[in-house]
Amino acid sequence: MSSVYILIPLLPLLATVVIALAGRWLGEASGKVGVFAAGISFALSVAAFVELVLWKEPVFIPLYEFLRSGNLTIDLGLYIDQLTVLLLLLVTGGSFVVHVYSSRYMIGDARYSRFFAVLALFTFAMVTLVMSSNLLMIFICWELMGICSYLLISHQADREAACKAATKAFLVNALADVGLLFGIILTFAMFGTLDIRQILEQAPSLSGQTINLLGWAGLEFHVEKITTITLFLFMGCLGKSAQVPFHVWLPNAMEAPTPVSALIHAATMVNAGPFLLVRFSPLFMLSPVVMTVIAIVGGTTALFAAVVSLTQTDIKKILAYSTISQIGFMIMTCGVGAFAVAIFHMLAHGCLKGFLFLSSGSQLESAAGHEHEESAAGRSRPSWLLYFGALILACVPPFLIFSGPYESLWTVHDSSAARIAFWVIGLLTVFFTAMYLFRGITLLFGRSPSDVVQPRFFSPAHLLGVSAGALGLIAVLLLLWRWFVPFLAPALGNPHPPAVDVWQPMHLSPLLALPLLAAFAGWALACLAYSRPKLFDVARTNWGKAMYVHFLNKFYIDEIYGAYIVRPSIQFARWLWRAIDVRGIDRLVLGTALNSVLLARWLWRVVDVRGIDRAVVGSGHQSVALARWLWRMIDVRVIDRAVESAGSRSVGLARWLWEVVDVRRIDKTVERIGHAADATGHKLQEVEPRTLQHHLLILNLWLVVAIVFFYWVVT
Amino acid sequence: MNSIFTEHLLSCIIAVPFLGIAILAFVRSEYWIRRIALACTLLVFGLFLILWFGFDTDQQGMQFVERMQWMPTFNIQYAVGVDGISILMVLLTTLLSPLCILCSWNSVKTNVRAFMALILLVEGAMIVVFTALDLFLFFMMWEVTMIPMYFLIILWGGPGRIAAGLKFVLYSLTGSLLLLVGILALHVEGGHTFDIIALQEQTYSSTAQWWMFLAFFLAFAIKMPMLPFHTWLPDAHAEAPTAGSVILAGVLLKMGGYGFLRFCLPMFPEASVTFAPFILWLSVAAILYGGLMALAQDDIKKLVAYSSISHMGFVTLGIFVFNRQGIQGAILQMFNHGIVTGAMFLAVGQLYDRTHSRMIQDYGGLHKQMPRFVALFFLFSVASFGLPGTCSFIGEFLVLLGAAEVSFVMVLLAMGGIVLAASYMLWMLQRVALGQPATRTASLLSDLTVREMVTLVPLALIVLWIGVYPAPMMEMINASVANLVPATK
Repeated sequence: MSSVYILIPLLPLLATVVIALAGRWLGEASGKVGVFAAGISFALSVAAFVELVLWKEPVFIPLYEFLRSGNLTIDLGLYIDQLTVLLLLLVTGGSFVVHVYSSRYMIGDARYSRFFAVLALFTFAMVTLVMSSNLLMIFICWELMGICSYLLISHQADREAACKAATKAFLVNALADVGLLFGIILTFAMFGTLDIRQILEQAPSLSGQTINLLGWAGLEFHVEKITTITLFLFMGCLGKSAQVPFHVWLPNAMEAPTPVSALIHAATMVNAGPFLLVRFSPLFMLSPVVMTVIAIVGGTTALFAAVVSLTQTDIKKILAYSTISQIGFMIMTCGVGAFAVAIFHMLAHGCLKGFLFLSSGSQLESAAGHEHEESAAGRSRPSWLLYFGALILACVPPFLIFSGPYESLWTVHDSSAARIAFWVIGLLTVFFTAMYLFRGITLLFGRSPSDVVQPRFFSPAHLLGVSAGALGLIAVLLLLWRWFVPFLAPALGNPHPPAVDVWQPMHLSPLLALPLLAAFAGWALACLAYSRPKLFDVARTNWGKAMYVHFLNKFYIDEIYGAYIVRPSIQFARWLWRAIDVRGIDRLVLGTALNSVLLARWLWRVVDVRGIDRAVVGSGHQSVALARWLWRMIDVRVIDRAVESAGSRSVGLARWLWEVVDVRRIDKTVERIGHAADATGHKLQEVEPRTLQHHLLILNLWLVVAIVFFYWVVT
Repeated sequence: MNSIFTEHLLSCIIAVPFLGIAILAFVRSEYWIRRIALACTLLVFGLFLILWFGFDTDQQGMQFVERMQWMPTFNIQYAVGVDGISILMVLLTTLLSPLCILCSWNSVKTNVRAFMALILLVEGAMIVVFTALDLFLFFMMWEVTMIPMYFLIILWGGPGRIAAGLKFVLYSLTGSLLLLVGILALHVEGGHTFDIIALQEQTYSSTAQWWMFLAFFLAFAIKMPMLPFHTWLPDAHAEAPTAGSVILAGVLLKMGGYGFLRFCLPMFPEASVTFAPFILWLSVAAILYGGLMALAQDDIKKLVAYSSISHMGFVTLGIFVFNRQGIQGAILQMFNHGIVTGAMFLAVGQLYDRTHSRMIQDYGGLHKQMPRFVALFFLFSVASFGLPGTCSFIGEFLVLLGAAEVSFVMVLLAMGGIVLAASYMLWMLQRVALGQPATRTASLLSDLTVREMVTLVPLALIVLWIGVYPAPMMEMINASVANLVPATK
């Protein structure tokens, strides 16, 4: 039954695929596809929420084995617990509203279907992120959201600024994501698994263990394992949630199509950071050091962004810095251990920001420079609802932090100085938030703030209405809060939360008044600044102007990054390429080749031409001389003479032999044989010549005798 | 019948490209030459698919082995076989070759027959390199791959082709020479056999390992290319015709990594361990250095070429950490890099076909005229810097995971390479695809044709498939890597 929830991420993915493939044929129907998918997802999320409220049992849906390598096995799965389901509501709900809204808003855009494909993909990524059961899956979705954000920011790709902003957004995130990925790798190295539930189960066993970070260099620098892991995981959060010093991308990201991307960059995606912190809260709780770092970074960001947004003139920039500030607040609350507050504020902030954007629809359109005919006609007055929304946004987080159960959490950090610092930061942020929100809303609806702030704004009836409305809303919120804390507690690794009774008045008394007062003070100050500008001549002093210039230029952080990081690194790369590859190695190779040619030539000249050739020629001459000498010496003098003398002697020898052997012996012997044969013949004639056969026989006999005789003689 | 066919399947695969060359010799019309060449490569790929599905992933050793005496006097055989490592490389070869022919369909106008024959020749030779079980066969085909590449560069290349071709040959020949020395030494040390399996089973003395490792390592390092030996690559890639760049980046570079896995690790484990720290730091340096170099380029092809050096750094990093994740990641990274960089070169080639410019500043605002191209180009670019959800991420992640066992600092530095990769790729995308057209020509370009879509879409599908579901691919190499790792323990 519960596996039907697999459709929550699957439907947006299918919508992406359908729109991407058939977008050209679908045309404006692609918006409807997206709306349909997001709508069903939202409905299913509500169903999951109801199921979880009723049965309180987390749902796990295994998907498939992603990869296996040695001792690493990654099984993907969807995990729905209380935390997930709340974020699911926010994400799918927000996405659904944005889909519906932009299916009309984006009409006329040349890349209508592309827009919806990316929007659906974003929904898929964010939904899967909050449902991930595996850290690697979280990272994949994390990056996928980043690329969707890139695509949305660069939607109006004709505009140079939009493209630059998109690249910047992704690169700043990529830098921070190095931290996240490294954290994941560290997690695997230390836990041997990336499954979130297993990690959280094993986390306590790892506390206290240390790792020598400089072991490779032979040094000793021991750091707690948990601290290392969480610090790097937190670095990832810094990027996605646009915290100092990685906040620079978010203001530029407002180049995206106005309400939609603003919603993604304000209400949903930027919440990924706090979500990760809350998801791994049991792990983070184990490292007080990192918790302090988180609180400090969050507090700094909250205050910094609030101050900067006071001076911005572009409405979208104001909203961007307001988002940064609010997320900073969430991070800070995470840092002090109030994870439930962070989530509560996240939901409230998401809803209210979405509400702010959407209810101001066409105003925002014209404010952002979109020239639509219908909106140019006139700008409507801000509804009271908007002011309420803004005020609540400013009040909610501190109201909750300073109330009830979390007061004890302020002692997470032992020193009272730190506690007071966070108090001060919190209250200051509330103060500034109220101010800039007022300013932002008035800017939205009037040509100048003084248009909006009219005397009747201060009529007692209105003030009473505002106060009553605010109090009413706060009461509603407190009711929600009463239910919220125990509901979320199991997901925070704390199945038995302390009983929360927000109605205990003693918790409320002094602490609650403070943030409320701060908010109203900020609100009133902003009102006064616009209605009675003369009161603020103080701000026109040199000192005030210098402050203003710094705030307006966002403390020059973009410029500093550009001048000290981006440009130098590109110039360094160029220099390196020219110095090492082109001048160094290439020249070396070319030089080697040239030199070897030269060497070869030199060798040829010296060795071949001068050396060997000369030697050969010389030896040629010498060998001719040698040959001549040899001929003269050996051939002519020795052999010839020897031959000659041998010849003359052999003639003598031959003659002597002839005389001795031939003439004297052989001739005489032959003669003797002849005589003998003659005599024998005569004798045989006498014997009687009978037949021819006899003659032949005798002849043969003699022949044999003669041969034998010769044989005897010769041997 | 079936069994005979399966027994000689690998030889059939090897034979088809060579037969194709023979057929091309008798064909006159360019119309048919193109079609026959394409048919040959497709046939090879089809046959390979049969092999792929017949491959037993649980078996550790070689499969589809064929042995035949070739020169018995010298104990040289024709012996081929595949294991999990080589099958991936062969897949890469057989997959990219038809795309190479498709991408040169119209852009190669002169001497089509020679061009196609050279592509077929290099394909056949590469398949043999990746499947050879005999050192002599391996070396011979290693050399054969170089010759067609040289001619592809100097005959159909860009303006600086002669110098680039010369550089390529000089570097390659140096590498080959060292390889030859190593092979001969191994032949002598290993009892006068060229049989790779037999050579792997022996153990060699430390000194012999040291020297032979050095020879093999340098040869493969030049091919990879590793850091100080890399300057041939940007020029060769940039000047080669599209098909040449695709083959070069997609497959030829992998021969280096394949060599490490096939020879260095199993045969010289001791020397590998000795040299490993040096090589690991060199790899990290290559990752960062290649990234920085790519950031400095104005020529898209050179940018992609330098990114290859950076990616190859991940491969050597993964191989020399000697653990399952590292090596599997490295193999996957080689495959992914082949797919992604091959696709990048194909895409850049399609731009080059239109404008005859490779310079970034000549483009801009392509998203308007070429939405389909930009969508695919975007996908390959983000895959190139390892966006999760694309194939490269899996490889890089596994390599980093493996490297974490050795040094965390190395991992952090290597991650700096990923950030650099994101920077140069997105910056390039911003200047090429987004914004306003820089020149009038850039504003008049037409979107991809069907043929061009056919070359890119399959690669895009593979990029996404491996990125989302890498388990089957991992399964292919699992057993072979398990076999490889103990060698260095």
